[in-house]
Amino acid sequence: MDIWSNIAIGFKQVLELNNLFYCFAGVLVGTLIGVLPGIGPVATISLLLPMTMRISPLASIIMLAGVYYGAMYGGSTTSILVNIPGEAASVVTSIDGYQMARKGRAGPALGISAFGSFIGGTFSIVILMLLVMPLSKIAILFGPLEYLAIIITGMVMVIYLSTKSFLKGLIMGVFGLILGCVGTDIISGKFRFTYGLLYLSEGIDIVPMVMGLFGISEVLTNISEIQEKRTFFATRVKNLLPNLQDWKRSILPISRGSILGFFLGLIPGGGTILSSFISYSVEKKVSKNPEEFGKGAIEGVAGPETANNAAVGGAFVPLFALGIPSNIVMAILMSSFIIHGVAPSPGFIAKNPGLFWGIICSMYIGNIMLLILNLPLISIWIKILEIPYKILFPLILLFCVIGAYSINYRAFDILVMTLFGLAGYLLRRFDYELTPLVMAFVLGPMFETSLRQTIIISNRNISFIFTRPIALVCFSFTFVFIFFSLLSRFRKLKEKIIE
Amino acid sequence: MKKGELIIALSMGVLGIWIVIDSYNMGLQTISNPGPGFFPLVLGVLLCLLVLLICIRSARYTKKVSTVKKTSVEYPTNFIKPGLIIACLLGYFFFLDTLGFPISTFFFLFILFWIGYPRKWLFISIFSVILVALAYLVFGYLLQTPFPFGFLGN
Repeated sequence: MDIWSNIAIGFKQVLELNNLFYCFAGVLVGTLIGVLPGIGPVATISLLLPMTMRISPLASIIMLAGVYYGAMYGGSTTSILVNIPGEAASVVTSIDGYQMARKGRAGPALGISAFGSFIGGTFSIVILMLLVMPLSKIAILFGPLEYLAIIITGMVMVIYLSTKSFLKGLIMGVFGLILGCVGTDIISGKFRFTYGLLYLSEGIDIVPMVMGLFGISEVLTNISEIQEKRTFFATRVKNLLPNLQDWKRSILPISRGSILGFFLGLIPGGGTILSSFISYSVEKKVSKNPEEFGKGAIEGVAGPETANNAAVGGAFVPLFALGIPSNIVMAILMSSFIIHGVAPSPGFIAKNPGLFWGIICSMYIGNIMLLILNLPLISIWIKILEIPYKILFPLILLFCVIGAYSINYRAFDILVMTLFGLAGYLLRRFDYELTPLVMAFVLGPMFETSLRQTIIISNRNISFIFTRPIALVCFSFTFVFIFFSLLSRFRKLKEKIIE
Repeated sequence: MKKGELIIALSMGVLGIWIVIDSYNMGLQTISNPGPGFFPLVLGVLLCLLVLLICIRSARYTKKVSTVKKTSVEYPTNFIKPGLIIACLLGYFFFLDTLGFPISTFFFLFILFWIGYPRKWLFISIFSVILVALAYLVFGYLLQTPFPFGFLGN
């Protein structure tokens, strides 16, 4: 079947009223949480997971993906108007976006960020569509050693890029793998670390776990910090459409942001945050007037906002083609696939063409919805920002307890969620990042199976690795990566000692 | 190293030792055909080593800092609110089946709102009742979640 027939199937699926509703709900909630500082896409997707268990796999992924890219759109609003990024990927937008607002140019800043997000988002979907099919055909040839190599490389990069301390990140990764061992051993069928608890026989339930780690711990973190009073620079935004001069200045940053964002999204641990930061530094470097950056340069808004949306599409490639999530949101989305019994793998697209193309096409529709939603509703988003957190957090917690209870209709899941919430809060408080933990937990069973199969196949012959080029490249890359990062840390330490 | 960081690292170390002992008892089989305890054993050993490494590194760092100048470590001051929230969640877990969804959810919300608005008890009582009704309407009635009613019965 050619690509056009597949797209037609996808649109047919997504244009069903039911799926359109979930797409709309996803992007609306995404924009809302992107606007609201204090709750990010990871926490929201975790909280919504139990709700998606009763709807079709397509509708649930459409909604959760909508939350993710919707949050990227919404995040820019608070960055520009209040100088408080709604989520981490919009931190750089606040540098020039807020300065533009101070100069009375909040409208064009919001406008270019919405258009840039739309262009970046759409570009990444087109490339995702073109790239994922051939890649998944190659991935079918992968054996356990290749999977093992890809997972190790991915995990090392995730730990390196998403944590402040590599050592603490490694501890969290190992802890996640241990938690992944709880339950029935896939190969021998024996129970491990269940201690007679029936609840644990199928392993720790991912839903209350991520709800606790991200939802509850985020509330606990926010409530323990002093809430600053928000001052709005612009309560009424005029002239949302950028003028010709704005477009002239933004077109190249948008193009660069689209390409850069997509490819950085592919890298494990890269994602939306890294892409927006790199895009900003690239724009500053190539600009003829770098001194304008930080004082309200529109390029500083257009580039990063495009890049963080383009990164979303990029992040889907390893998930769909290899069944390996490249960041925490993808790991949670993968668990949603698993809950519905359609785990992503190299054969995923061939087995579920309707589901895959439905998700892809929903992103086109979702991006259009966001463009329509964002520009006229900005005044409403500003009003929502005025809701105090002391009203919001009980509502979030109510949603958490109902969500946790509705997974299996038992109160025990609330306890699991609470314990993970407390653990998450304490771990975050002392700079132990949660991303490697959840990534390792999700990838744990695949990692262990691949490792044990590789050991059996290799028959104690380590040179077997040298006959597998993909695995060899991955292992060499990981080795070189660790070597150079250790070398640079050693140099920094040496400089400090000399000083 | 902060006191909390040390406690977390040591807890991880204890967990690592526990995993090593437990996975050894599970059966390791042979190297060429690993059993169910093999992978957790490797992870347990790795965890212990990493904890050891972080403790050594932190001890060195603390020594260096203390020789240069003594700094006062600032600990987070507000642990009361997170503690109250955790107590609320645990209370909700303990009383949900006995008191039932409407009553336990009302008290749950009331206490949480009270944390933010300690003097507006009438307002938060009414607001909590409305929210309980709304939550039941959406999740219990429309989404058919079978909430427990405890002593109130069905």
